[in-house]
Amino acid sequence: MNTGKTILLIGLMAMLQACASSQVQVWEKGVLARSDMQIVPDPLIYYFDEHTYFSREASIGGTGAGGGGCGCN
Amino acid sequence: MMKNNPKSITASLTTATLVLLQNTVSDVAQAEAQVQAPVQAPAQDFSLDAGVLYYSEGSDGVQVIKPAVRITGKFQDDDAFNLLLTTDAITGATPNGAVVQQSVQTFTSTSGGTYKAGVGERPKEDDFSEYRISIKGSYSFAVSDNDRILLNGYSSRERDYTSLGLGGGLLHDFNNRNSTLNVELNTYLDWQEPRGGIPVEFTPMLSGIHNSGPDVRDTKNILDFNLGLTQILTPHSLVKVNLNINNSTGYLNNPYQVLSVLDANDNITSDGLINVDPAALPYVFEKRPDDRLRSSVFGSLVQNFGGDVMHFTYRYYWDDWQVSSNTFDLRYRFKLTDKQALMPHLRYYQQSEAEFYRHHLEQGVDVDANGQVLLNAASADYRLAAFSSYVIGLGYSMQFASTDEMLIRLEYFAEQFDKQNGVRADQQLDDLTALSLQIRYSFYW
Repeated sequence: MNTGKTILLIGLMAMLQACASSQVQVWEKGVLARSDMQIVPDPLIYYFDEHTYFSREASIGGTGAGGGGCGCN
Repeated sequence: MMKNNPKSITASLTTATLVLLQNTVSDVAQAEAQVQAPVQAPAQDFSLDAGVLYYSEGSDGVQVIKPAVRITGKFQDDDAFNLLLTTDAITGATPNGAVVQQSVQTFTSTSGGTYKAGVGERPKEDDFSEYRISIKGSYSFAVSDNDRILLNGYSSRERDYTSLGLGGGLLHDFNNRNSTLNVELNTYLDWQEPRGGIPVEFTPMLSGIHNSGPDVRDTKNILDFNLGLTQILTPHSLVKVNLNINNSTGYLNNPYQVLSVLDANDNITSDGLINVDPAALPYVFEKRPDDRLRSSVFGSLVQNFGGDVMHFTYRYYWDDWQVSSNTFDLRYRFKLTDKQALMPHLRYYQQSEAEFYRHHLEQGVDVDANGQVLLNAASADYRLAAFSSYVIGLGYSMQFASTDEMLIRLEYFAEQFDKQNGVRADQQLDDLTALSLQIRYSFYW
């Protein structure tokens, strides 16, 4: 198994552990509601980025802000 | 000891109510983040982002101008939508896959004319220009307290390429809304109608006519699956892991890409190809497999440091063309004042080459005396070669009025190709650099 998959497997296991133990209460989520705390904090800029990378590289998949068929690659 | 006076009780109740209201929105915002419809300003119902991307590979490379508008909205019953409209104007010269020579090379363009590459120049088709429009939308609605359904639609059109996509998914909150599972399936049908028609794979480019292919269009089907889990870790951090599987079948060639046929001294030769057609130039059109299974996993961490925010993402990608890649992406938002922020960005990317990537074909080894290519597949598309790249960027945002915001951002790209064994120094792939300028203005109502 390569390094990348190993890192992600360890990350997934740590996250499952976090699932079991994390209990942030609803009144503690004020910071998490902010737009800059989202996984995709700026969808238009992420879309620009991902479309640029997609047209230059062999890889796809990521935050999902891009996507869609395109003749550029 | 604290007194229980009515004013402090009222103040406490007001604060508690506001916090609860805010956090109800927080949960919705979390759910929407999974469907790429984050709430820009949770107190608002509708928002509009208008932006433009300018991308340049320099005076002899590709230039792109890409205006885009994104509208998001949320209705009283918590239904939400987002709509993205974009258009691209692409001009400039793109590498056609052929190898640098120490002599002038002549190619046939898609219109039947000719273009040349000078001594030591990387061959590029220089009359390239393209316009593209696309629309992408999604709509989500709640079906229970913890479940939302997502519907997606997509369409894009350019002169030689059309794409239609449909799909949907489910978002499920659990663990006291500290965890969200999302499952999404999208399908696309793409039509390709290359300028000059569809070239027959592994046949030579011809003098006077680009190719001898009888077909004008072909199709590609794409099925895209996503499985993700978002987990709130603390009141200041969350993480997401995601698995993406993407299967493409049908016409996966790039109809404008050729491979040079070289002799033992790495000079172009039509010795074999002229037996296929007397008008053969020393280049053959590429041939890729007609299916591709691509997978990626990524982990993304968002951490707040007393007002500053860090986004870190790692992605591992692999496919059955034997391409694999690692991507590290780090973004930071320095809060300068309540209304201004500075946003540096670093990205590192590295990929291996596709198993059928070939720098060129060799006469007598890959191509026989009758001009037949002896391989199952081959492409010289540089995007299938092994390389690494990095991005350095900096953005600055400023808030106007109550909620309007403007962002300006500059990014520098550098792509460095791995040195290829057995390839002459003057025929190695050139490194590539580019600049990107992005401007976005957002407002809410």
